Order: sequence, then structure tokens, then C-alpha cells
Amino acid sequence: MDLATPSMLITDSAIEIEAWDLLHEVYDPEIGINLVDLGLIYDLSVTERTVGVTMTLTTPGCPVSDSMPDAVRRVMEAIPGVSDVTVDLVWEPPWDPERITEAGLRELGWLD
Amino acid sequence: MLGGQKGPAAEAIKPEQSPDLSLPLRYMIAALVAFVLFATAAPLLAPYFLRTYDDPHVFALVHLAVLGWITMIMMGALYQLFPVALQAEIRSVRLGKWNFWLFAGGVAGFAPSFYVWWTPGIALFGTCAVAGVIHFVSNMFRSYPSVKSWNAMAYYVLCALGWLTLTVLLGFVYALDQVFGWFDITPNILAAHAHLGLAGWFSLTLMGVSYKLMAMFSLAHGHDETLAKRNLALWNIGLLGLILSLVFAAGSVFVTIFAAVLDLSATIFVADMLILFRRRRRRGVSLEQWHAFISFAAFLAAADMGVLLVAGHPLTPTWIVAYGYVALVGWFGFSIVGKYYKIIPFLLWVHRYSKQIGSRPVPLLRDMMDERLGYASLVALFAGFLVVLAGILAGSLVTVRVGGAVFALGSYLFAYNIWTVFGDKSPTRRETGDRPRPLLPHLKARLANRPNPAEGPLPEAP
Repeated sequence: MDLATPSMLITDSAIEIEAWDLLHEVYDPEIGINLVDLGLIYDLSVTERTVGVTMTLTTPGCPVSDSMPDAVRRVMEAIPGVSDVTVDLVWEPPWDPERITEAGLRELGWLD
Repeated sequence: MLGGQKGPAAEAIKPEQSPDLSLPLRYMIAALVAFVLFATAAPLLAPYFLRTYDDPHVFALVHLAVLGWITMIMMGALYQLFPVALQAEIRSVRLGKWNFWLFAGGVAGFAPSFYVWWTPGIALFGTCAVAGVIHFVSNMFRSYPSVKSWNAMAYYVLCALGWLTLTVLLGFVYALDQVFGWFDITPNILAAHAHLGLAGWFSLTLMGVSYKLMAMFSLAHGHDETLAKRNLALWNIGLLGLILSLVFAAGSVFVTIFAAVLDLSATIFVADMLILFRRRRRRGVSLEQWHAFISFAAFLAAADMGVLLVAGHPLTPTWIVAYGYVALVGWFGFSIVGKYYKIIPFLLWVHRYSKQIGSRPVPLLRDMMDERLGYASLVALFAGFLVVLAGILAGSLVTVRVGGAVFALGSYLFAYNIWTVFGDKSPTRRETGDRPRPLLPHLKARLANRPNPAEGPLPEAP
């Protein structure tokens, strides 16, 4: 008999929503803005409970280049139902301040 | 499987390329101690440097600053920044760690030996300090083949390392002459030694690092580095000409010409920094940037004073000491103090909190130190600096001592603030609000546009 566990009932869409939400809780420690509003997350996909994140950092010389992809991976792995996580740190296209969201600009003081 | 870094990330720095915390930190803590000692000793030794710069007590104080404080912090900062900013690998972390003891031990004996004018100590500890510098330079030169990002900082630091080698070699020759009388050392050669260090090693390192850090911390992207690289050539031409003129044609018009070239180059650098700063995406001026702007102003003032001194202003000890003080404390000192507020919290944050993201709340860098205390320290340091400078120019011992005491107070506040960074700054769940953020509308829409019928309806966003 096929017994479905609770985690098996979690859909890819639910995981994706949770993933985006959790990425809003991961902050660039120096700038103080989360990775999503800073525009560092280029892509997030969930296929058969495998989370794939493509991200960048503000500069290749960023002091957290060692640790931030690992932090993202850890956060994604903590989502119930996730079976696998892949984090790709890319430098192309390079990050540009134009990628900062309205919420991010508000945090930086450029918008009221 | 854990998500690795692949594809274009192969260009990114590998974790094992970054030296562990203990390598840069030992240099930075030693430099902090030397800075506090320098700030404390300066008003006490004021009677000596108000009279002349050519005095064993002044040599002791100056070398405590230039080797124990400034060179020490630059070594530590480069061991930290070199891998991340240039995407490179330190050739030997172990050599860097062992070399610290050789260099720190050398400086710890060198400065006191100067103070009491114990020539065997000057020779012995000076040799240790020189050996420490040579090891450091060798380690950095051998690290350069691994550099992937040949940005402005890479070229500036490479040149600075070359000038540093010449600085210590000429200083070593000078020290040997003091002990054995082997060479015909003139005051102009002493001036050449000082300028190799001030303009070659310190200035070029700070200029190069400033291009990277100012852009990084102010989110100023897309700054064209062409001017920076051309200005580096101008600076090197000016410095080479100045050194050769001082050694072989002292008193000639060439000294003035090359000093003016350096002054022009300093002006171009500061203007370029302002252009870069105007491109920033972070509003306001941060604590670190206030320090940087004071240092830039002092850089221009020192460069102007240098030209005035060789262009006919009387070469009185008062003006020479004032010139050195503006360069040493104003340009290098404020720049370094400001960068501490970024580098130390970053080092400790990466070491202590980066692996806790996702499992517990972690602080931001600004949570790791007391910014108000930082501004109080800045005010005391800047006020003390101006009063000491006024006292030097006026020849007033009381003024120098009052200003020196205020500056020392600022150094204590600064050191205490940095010390507190080492404490645990983890915020509690209550402090962070323990709240999930609402899903952004555009994400809801994005998910709504790609339904998977097999998965059923989307759950409500939290």
C-alpha cells in the first residue's frame, strides 16, 4: 500500500512560495537588505522538489562570496519536502543597482 | 546532494582560498595596540618632536606608527582583501602566520631600541623587521600569478609592494650606517627613505584599496578605472623622479617638479574618488566614509605642503614635522581607522554568523558595533588632530599635549568600540520580530501564471 507522508503532499509551487519567502529573510550583512530586494536572486525554480537557485553578489570581490551561497542552500534545505538544492553563483550578467526592487530602494532611503 | 557552485561560479573565489580568521586578525589586533600606544606616547614625547624630527625618541615614535600600526594593519588587511578583491589565493598562509611573529617581534624591539638608542638592538630588531617585510612582500608577489581580477587595486598594490621593498632596504642601509658607519648617509637619503614609505607603500596601498572599498560599501558600480590606472603611472613617475632627485640632485628644481607631479596625482585621485562617490546608491555618508573624506583632505594638504617645502618654504623642523604629521595621522591614520569599522565586523561576521543564517537570527554589520561611539571617537580624533597640528605650527607644547590627549581619548573610544565587536551580537527572535514577510505581489502573480494542474491550487501566502 502506498502511504503518502505529509511532506510528499507538499507541492513544488508551495515549496517555491516558501523559498521566495525565506530568501526575503536572508540579508546582505553590510547593506542590510534581503537578497531578493537587492536583486541578487536571478532565478529560482522547483522541479520535483529540487530547488535550483541562480544568484549573484554585488561584486566578485564581495567578502561574503564564500558564505552567502552556502547560507542560501542551508535555508532552502530547511524547507519541508525539499529533496535536493542546487545553488549556482554566477557573475554574468553582473549585478547592477538597477536590479534593486522598490522595497530595496525604500530601505536605502531613495524612495519614501 | 548539496547545492554546489558550478558553471560561471568557477570564476568565483573558492572557500579554501580565503585565509582563516586568525591570519589577518593577529595583524589587525597588533596594529590596534600599536595605534593606542602611539596615541598615548605622542603627547608625552611632544617636547622632542617640537624641537626636531632628527631625534631617537622621534624615530621611536615614528617607527611605532609606520611599522607597528600602519604597516601591520596593511599586512593584515591585504591578507584579508587580496583573495576576495582580486579573486586570488595567498601563496602561503602558514608563512603569513609565522611571519607575523618575526615582524611583530622585530617592531616590538626596534622602536624601544631607537628610544634608548641601543644600537645593537636597532640592528638586531631592525633586521627582524626587515626580514618580516621581505617575507611578506615575497609571499604577496608569489600570490600574484593567481590573480584573476586585474582591477585598479591589483596594480596599485603590486606597485606599493615594490616601493615597500625599496623602503626597507634603504632603511636597513641607514640603520647599518648608524651602527657601523659603512655608508655616507645624508639627510636627503633619509628623506628618500621616508618618501618611499609614505608615498610608495602607504599611499599606493590606500589608494588602491580605496577604489575597491569605496565602490563596494557605497554601491557605486560601473566606475571607469581608466583614470585610476593612468594616474598610477603618473604617481610612479612622480615618485621615482622625486627619489632620484633627492638622492642625486637635492636642492635642484627637479625635486620641486616631481613633488608637483605627485601633488597633481593626489588631486586626480581625490577627484576620482568624489566622482565614484557620486555614483553611489546608498544615501548619506557612513562613519567609514567620514573618516575617508577627512583622510582625502589631509592627503591633499600633505601633498601641497610637500610642494611648498621644496619650492622655497624654509625647511624648518616645525614645518617638516607638521608635514609628516598631516601625512601620517591625517591621510593614513583616518583612512585606516575608518576601514577598521568595516573590516573587523566583516571578518567576525563571516567567521561567527555566516554559517548560522537560516538556523537562527544573525546580526547585520551595523549591529556589531556602536555607531554613536564611533562618531564620538571620530570627533575626538579629528579635534585632537587639528589641535596638535596647530600646536606643532605654533611651537606650543601645551597645545600639542592638550590636542594629543584628546586624540588619545578618541583612540581609546575607537579601540573599545572595536573590542566590543568581538562580543556575541546575535539578535533574539523577539528583537527580529520573528515574522515571516508577506509574499511580494509580483511573486504571487508569477506563480499564478504557471500553474501545474497536477499540483492543485496554490496555497495561501503566509
